[in-house]
Amino acid sequence: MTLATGKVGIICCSGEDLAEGTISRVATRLVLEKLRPDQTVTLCLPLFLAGGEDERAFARVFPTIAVDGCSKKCAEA
Amino acid sequence: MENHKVVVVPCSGIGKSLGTVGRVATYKIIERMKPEKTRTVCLALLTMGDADALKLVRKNPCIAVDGCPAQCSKKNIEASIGKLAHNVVVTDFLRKNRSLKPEGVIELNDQGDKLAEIIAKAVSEKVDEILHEEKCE
Repeated sequence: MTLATGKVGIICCSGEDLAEGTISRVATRLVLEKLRPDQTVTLCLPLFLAGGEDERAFARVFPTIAVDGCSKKCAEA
Repeated sequence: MENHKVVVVPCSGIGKSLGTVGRVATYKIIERMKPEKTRTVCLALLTMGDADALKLVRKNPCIAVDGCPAQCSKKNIEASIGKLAHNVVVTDFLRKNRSLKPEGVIELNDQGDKLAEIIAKAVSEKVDEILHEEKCE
């Protein structure tokens, strides 16, 4: 993974079992594709949680916004 | 024997359309093709070690539906000591259906939806096989 700087990371929960998870996913993609395409990046949450050093470095390199669907807050955690 | 459901777990991939293909395929299975025999669980919840999610994948046979060769769903089910009964990867189906070019993450194009339908049918057949084998045991 190439880490660019000067961007904001957005990680959403993408929760498959709840409609709210899909809303978090769609909201995230809207920011990435339409609202702030040049200023934002994302990463699949399970890859981030279970990935290697590059993936874990994501939140250290980018100021990151978590977009969660429910009170379990998987993305924030 | 307890009536088990097969837990179909897509990968949550958000960077490319492949993750959406797996996600759409999963919804086709749990909502339309095999609603009585399947359910899903949030992969992030499983990865976080949520007690209910862990219990679910340890008690029921699971099918991982991954978008790319990183296979986050498969790996997380295995790491959770879940009952991984089968796994599919969208890129494998893409190789066999080269005329279909999935595009879009928020919303799949028609070709992506067709690919999801092919995957959903294949996984649904596997659901029947898995539950049949469990019944015979």
